[in-house]
Amino acid sequence: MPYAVCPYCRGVIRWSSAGAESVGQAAELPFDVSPIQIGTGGALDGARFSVVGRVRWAWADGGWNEWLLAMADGTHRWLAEAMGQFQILEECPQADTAPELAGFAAGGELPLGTLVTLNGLYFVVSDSKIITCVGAEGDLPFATPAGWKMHSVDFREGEGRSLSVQRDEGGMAAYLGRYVELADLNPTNLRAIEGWDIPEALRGSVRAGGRA
Amino acid sequence: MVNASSAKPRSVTCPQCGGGIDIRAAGVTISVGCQYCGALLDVANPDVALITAWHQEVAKLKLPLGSRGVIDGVTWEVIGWVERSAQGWTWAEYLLFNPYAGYRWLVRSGDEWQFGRMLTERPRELLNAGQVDWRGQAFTAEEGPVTITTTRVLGEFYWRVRAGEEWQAVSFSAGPQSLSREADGDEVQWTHLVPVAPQVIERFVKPVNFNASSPRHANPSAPPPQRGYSSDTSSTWANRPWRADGDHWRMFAFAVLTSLLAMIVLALAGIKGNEAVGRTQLVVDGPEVQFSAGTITVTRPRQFVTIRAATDTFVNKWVDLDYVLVNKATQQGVPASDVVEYYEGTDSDGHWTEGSHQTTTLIAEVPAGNYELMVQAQAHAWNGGGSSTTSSDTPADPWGLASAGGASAGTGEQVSLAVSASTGGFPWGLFWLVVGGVFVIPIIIILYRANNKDDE
Repeated sequence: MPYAVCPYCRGVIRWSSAGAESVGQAAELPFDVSPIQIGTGGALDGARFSVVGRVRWAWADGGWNEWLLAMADGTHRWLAEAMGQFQILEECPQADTAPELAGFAAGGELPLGTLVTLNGLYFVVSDSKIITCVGAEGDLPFATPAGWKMHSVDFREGEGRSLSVQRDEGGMAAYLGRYVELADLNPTNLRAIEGWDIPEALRGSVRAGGRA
Repeated sequence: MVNASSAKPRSVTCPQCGGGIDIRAAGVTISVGCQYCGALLDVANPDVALITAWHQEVAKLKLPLGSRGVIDGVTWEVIGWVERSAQGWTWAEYLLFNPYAGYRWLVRSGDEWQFGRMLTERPRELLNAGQVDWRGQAFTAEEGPVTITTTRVLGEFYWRVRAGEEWQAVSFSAGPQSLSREADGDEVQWTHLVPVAPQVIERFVKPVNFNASSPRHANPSAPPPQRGYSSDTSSTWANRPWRADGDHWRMFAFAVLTSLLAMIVLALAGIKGNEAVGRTQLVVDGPEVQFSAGTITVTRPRQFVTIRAATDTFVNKWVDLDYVLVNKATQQGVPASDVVEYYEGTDSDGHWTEGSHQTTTLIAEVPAGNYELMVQAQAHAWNGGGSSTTSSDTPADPWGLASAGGASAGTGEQVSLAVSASTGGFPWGLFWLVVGGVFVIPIIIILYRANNKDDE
């Protein structure tokens, strides 16, 4: 990953052949009760993964986490965690084959209810809002300066698939995915939360320590 | 990593009543209805802001916030409660939370309970009108869309909840299961509901330290115990030469003078003004009764308000009292609670009695204005005693759990209650605290000297 957030000074560091370079400051992560932490492991579509980074986003009426999963095969996925529900998302490079999304990338609007066909699936715009990056940690594919703002549009689909499109001055990125249950990921090394026991189904084979 | 350590609940202070509120789902929770005063708070931002003050009394919940129970092998904690109504019918929905498993709903309609799970997918509308398909099962619409209104909220929520919000709802059923479709403009939420046996609900454990009748630790209306009427004297004594001879008389003179001064100040603050009285009848173990005791006017900028409650002479019962002094101009409420209790029985030491048939609550520093005193009262029988019982070693039911279906329900026994509110009142507790405070220093000094003399 080209970027990392220093856990001690919150500095955003870019790794390159020339070494490490400080490119800014990430905001302090606000406290939340997420069961995920850097070092949480699991399995997805038959491949192991490890959580290596997180970006926390907020908007006027809430906040959510996007956890970066480093897959055993060297690829990456995102685990989005909002309102107690989880989605696995993967960047979708051919998103601008859909004319509505290409229009959005070019600065157009995506009103609520807009229908978008992508990969043979029908998605409907269910939410559109301005979001702000309120913190980051670990290794990340992009820099996460404090106060970074994006226009985010969420879609729903009949069978539990999901699509999320985000746009800023630098362009548009689309993430395609599906809702999952935490237990389906066979998680290990979940975060301990005071006053709660990790349910049997989520205990997995706990690896001592993980990356912590 | 920084965040890898064990996570604790975040805590905020209610800006209205000063009550301490633990945020159980920190990072997710947006709205909190204060469990002490009912104020609706916005906790999305670091500065907790009051959205609306709820000037009604905090509801007595069947499952108090913080209760925990196991459903389908997962422990759930009650973190929120909403009262909703449609077409004249009112029911309650409890929001459940487990940090590892997310959110669920417990819907209580009369004595029936349903366990609800929010769907991430949309059930398919079938061509056959009034039917939907979900996971291969057909659900049939029960009736046309109804408008559901949220009437009251308590606890914490992951969305910006507000009393008065409206949803268009349709219910679909397949045997005992049902699907509920709720829409608010463009937002559609589907919930799958299955029945829950009442025993599962009965096994929920109420939170430790839970006492619905008196959240005293968060009660802002108790007289501030340390506010310094005596601080002047102590600073005076701090400046005195420690071993001056013959100063005991001066010390005591100062203490007496300070006590007198405190008495005059407190009495002035408490000059009696107007009074309001309300009366009602309570059925023992019957429903909660809410009534207004009338209106009083606080004329000075800050004044004491005394609330007295008295009952007829019952035995082995208690009456929970919750007061809210509502400012008629601003609708801001000052909450307080009290209890009238009287028990008697016979044990190995002979006959005993405990409690009395009246009680007084003093609310300090009430700002000037017109106030209506709202009272919510509920009478309970003490099952551990019973009016004719002679042995009562254990209060069998300290939380009144059994009273819902309890032995003494339905006897129709009644308790008369009168509640009065008046401006003014003399805060004896505060006065004696001041007296204790100003006398203790000279007494310690004299004892210290006496001891040292013995040593020499």
